[in-house]
Order: sequence, then structure tokens, then C-alpha cells
Amino acid sequence: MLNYIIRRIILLIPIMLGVSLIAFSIMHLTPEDPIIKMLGEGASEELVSELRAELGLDDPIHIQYLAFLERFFVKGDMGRSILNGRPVMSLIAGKLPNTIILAFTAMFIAIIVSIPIGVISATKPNSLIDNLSRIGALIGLSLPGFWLALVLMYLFSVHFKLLPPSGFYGPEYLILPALALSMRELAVLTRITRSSMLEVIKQDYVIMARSKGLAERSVIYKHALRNALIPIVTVAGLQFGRMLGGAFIIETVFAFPGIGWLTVDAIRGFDYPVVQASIMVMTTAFVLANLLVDIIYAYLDPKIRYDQD
Amino acid sequence: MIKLTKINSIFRVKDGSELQLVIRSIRKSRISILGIIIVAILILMGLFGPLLVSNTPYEMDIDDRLATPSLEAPFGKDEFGRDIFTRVLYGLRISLTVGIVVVSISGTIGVFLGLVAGYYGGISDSLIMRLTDIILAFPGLVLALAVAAAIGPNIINVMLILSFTWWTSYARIVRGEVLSIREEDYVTAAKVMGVKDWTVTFRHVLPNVIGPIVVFATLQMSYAILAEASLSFLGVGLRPPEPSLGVIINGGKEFLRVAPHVSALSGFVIMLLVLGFNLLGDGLRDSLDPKMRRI
Repeated sequence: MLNYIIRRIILLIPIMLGVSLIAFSIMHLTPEDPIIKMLGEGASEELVSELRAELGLDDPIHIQYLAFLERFFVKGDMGRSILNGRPVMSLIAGKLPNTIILAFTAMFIAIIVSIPIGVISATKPNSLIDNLSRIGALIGLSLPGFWLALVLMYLFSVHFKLLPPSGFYGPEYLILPALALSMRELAVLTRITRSSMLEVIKQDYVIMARSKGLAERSVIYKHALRNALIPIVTVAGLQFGRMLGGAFIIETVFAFPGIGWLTVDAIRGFDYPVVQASIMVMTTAFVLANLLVDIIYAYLDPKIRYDQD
Repeated sequence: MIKLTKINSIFRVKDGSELQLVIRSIRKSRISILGIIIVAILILMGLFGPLLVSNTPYEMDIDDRLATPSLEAPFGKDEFGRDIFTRVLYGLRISLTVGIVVVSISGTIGVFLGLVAGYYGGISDSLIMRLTDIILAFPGLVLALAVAAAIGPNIINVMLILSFTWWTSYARIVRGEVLSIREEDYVTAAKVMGVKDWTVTFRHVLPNVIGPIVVFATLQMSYAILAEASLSFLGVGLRPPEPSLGVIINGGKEFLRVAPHVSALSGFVIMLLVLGFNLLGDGLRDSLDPKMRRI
């Protein structure tokens, strides 16, 4: 097990190097001078050369990249935001917890709705409920997140005036963005639960439990679901990591002060230090979430550990 | 020489069967047929709709700002008095073009690299797989969003960015399939016969991984359409006044209170289009590959 974990962590090194190279290159992909983009056309020459020196843009490119790596991984200091002059890392530290809370809420909604629906679907395959939930899941997968967000906002804030449309000043502000964010994950988890349950129900120990005369309820929830949960938990974990970086559309629509909205704002304002740092933070969070899921999965299912030897 | 043609013709039976299986399974699955109907109607609307309407997607009519749906303008008018239905018809063209281009480019890159990685193994395999690991480390649209912002928002860039970040899944699928097919007797037989590596790969291995590729390509159409709409909605894809569905919905966002129809109807069209491709892909997957049913 320890071997497996160490091997997985070593594999992260080339991935993070590649990711950081891409994040670093973003400022240099711009056809124009990134300094002019950041400061605007009318910036004084003095200001331009000052910022150029601060960002180290006069150094050779490989020195710049090494400095970038050092700043992120060693010093944890990604410079200042061009738009408001605040240290980038403290900006991100201020927004990241909000995104984590939002992702947790969305995941919670997705799990408590999808698992019961998936279980019922699987226990009565091809029934009306099963067909409805399968079509519902497909529609959930097809909804554009930003559109669903606008529809929810219109219904619950504009029309019925039940919930606040934007910002984050209390728990009620979480409901709409979390609902919008959870839809896709809800659909995916419902499908996973259904197929995982369908597979487990056919297993011998479930037939055995039934033939011993156990109540159907206990067979399904105590014996079958517990075993069906392994793939469900895996997917949920991966989705959580994805949501940390994938919430930017929903956050932007609801003006929710998370890392996604921060990034979109920075991208629109050519605030490259913030863009680079938040990309690094989001990918690191995503990669670590994946690593954690892999380790848990390998722990639960020893076959994985040996397969990769 | 005669012998080789004979062997090849035996293999070709296998080539045909996989493609026929795809077609047969479409016919069998009711879900796929529903998907095909939805997709076909929307493709026809995108192809011929713009020829049938009398106005252009840019024509403004200030007196008719935010008009509600009517017989003359079935989806109503937007904040500049432009006919939303006309804009949606042109928007469908954009969505479908992006989908087709992205699927073709990323599919070609991914299938090629997947074949190389799976068939040759070794260093090429490690390099290609590490590259997919790196690209897959970016959650969701983060990479596309950042690159789009850096190199400038327009339709060509959006298509290129999505193509060059989305080939990874094809490469993984194809590599996995090739690894299992590589050991099959008919591939070994072809190799023993002295058939060249590339011929084996393209004539005998590729046709047998077509099923999963078709399924994924169909589903990817829906991802690509959603991605373009999302990027355009955020202002880093197509820009106003282009009639991208994402741009139309973003325009309506400001008028949600007074004119919800602007965003509502155009968003519904994207949902239908994406649902069509999802239904088609799902039906195909169920009937082609019972192994993949789990996701």
C-alpha cells in the first residue's frame, strides 16, 4: 500500500511540472505585450518598466519559469494583483473557502437526491419510475449550467422572491448556486448508483440474503447498497475535485465570491498574476483530490494496487 | 500475394461487422432514434432556417426592443430589437460547426496518438500518457478559459483550444482497446504474415475500436456545444454581436426581470441539441458496449 502511495506521489511531479509550464505560458501566449494588456494603452513608460521589472519579464524565459516554480511551490508568494494591488495568495485564500462551502453544499444535495433515486431505479428496472429517472438524469446532463442558473434565479428571486439572487452574505445565498452546481453531478451520480446497484443485486450474497428470508428493505439497504457504494464514492470524490475548479460559471452568474469568479474577473481584466495563481491552486486541488480518491479506492479494492505493479 | 489478399478478405469481414454493428444498434435502440430525430430537426433548422427567414441576425429594430414572442418573431426580440429566432437559427450553425470541427480534430489527434501509444508501447506510450495526465489535471473548462483569454476570443481560437485539450479521452479509450486487441490471434496472425505495422494498425486494429470511438464522439458533440456556449456566455468565446447561443443568453441576462424570454428560449434550444446528442450517444453505448453502461 505504501509503495502504491509513493509511486502515485512521484507520478504527480511530471504532472505538476507540465501544469505549471502551461500556467506560466499563459502570460506569454498573448500576441501583444502582456504589460500593456495589464496596464492599458495609456500607461506611462515608467509604470511599464516598473511592472516589467517586478514580474521579472526582462529575465531569460527559463529563468522566469524557474522563478515562477519557486514562487508557487517554495515561497507561496505569487506577487500582487494588477487590478487592486493586493497580494494574490491572500486574495485566493479569501475566496477559496467560499468555493469549498459551495461545492460541499452542491455535493450534499446531489448525494441525498441521487442515491435514493438510483436505488429505486435499480430495484425496479424499466418501471415508470426508472424510465422517468433515467430521462431526468439525461436532461440534467444536458442542461447548460449557466442557463439553469438564470432559470433558477428568475423563478426563485425575481418571480417568487423567495431567495436572494446574488452575493454571499448568509446560508440562504448558498441555495440557488448550490442547486445549479449540483444538477450535473446529481445526474451523473444517479446513473452511477443505478448501474452499480444493478450489478450488485445480481451477486450471490444478495440472492443469499433474500433466500434467508430477510426483509427486502434490509437486503437492499444493508447488503446491496453498502457494496454498491464503492464506485459511487469514487465518482463523488472526483466530482468534488472537479467542482472546485468548475464552479466558475455558476459563481459568475450568481456573483458568488469564490475562486471561480475571481479567476473569470482576472481573465477579463488581464490580471495575469491572479490568473496564473488561481489556475495553479485549482489544478493542485483537483490533482490532490484525485490522488486521495485513488488511494482510498486502492485501499478498498486491493486488486488496483497489484494491477499497476 | 494471392494468399495475402485472401487473409485480408477474411479480416475485412471483421471490419464490416463492427460498422454494421453500429448501424444495427442505432436501429434497435429507441433512445437513439429519439436522439437522431431531435438532432436531425435541429441540424435542418441550422442548415436551411437562415435561408427561409427574411431578416438577418444583426438587423435591429429599436421600436421593438425586448418584444415578447409573437407570430412574426416566435422567440421575441432582444434588447436591440433583433429577432431572437433568427439569431438562434444562426446560433445553431455556430454550435454545430464548433461541435463537428472539435470532434474531427480532437478525434483524429486522439485516435492517432492512442493507436501509437497502445500498439508500440514503450517510450512513445509513456510520453503520450503523461501528456494526457497533464491536460486532464485541469478541471473542467479552466484550461480552455485561460488560453482563450490569452490568445483572444474568436470562433477559430475556441475550436482550436477545445480540439487541442480534448483529444486525451480518445487517446485513452483507443489505447485501452488496442492493448487488449493487440494480443488477439488475428493481429498476431497478420504480424506473422509479415504485414507491416501500420497496415496492421489501420486495417485490423482501428476498425475494431470504432464502436467506442463513435460513442465518445457523439457524446463529445454535446460537450463541445456546451463548452462553446459557456465560453461565449462568459465573454471569452464568441463576442457580441455574433449570434452564438451563449452570447444570446448572456445578452438576455441583463433583462431577466423584464424580458425572461430572451434567455429562456435560446437556452432551451441548446438543451434540446445537447440532449439529442446525449440520447444518441447513450443509446449507442448501451447497445454497443455493455461494459460501458456504468457511467
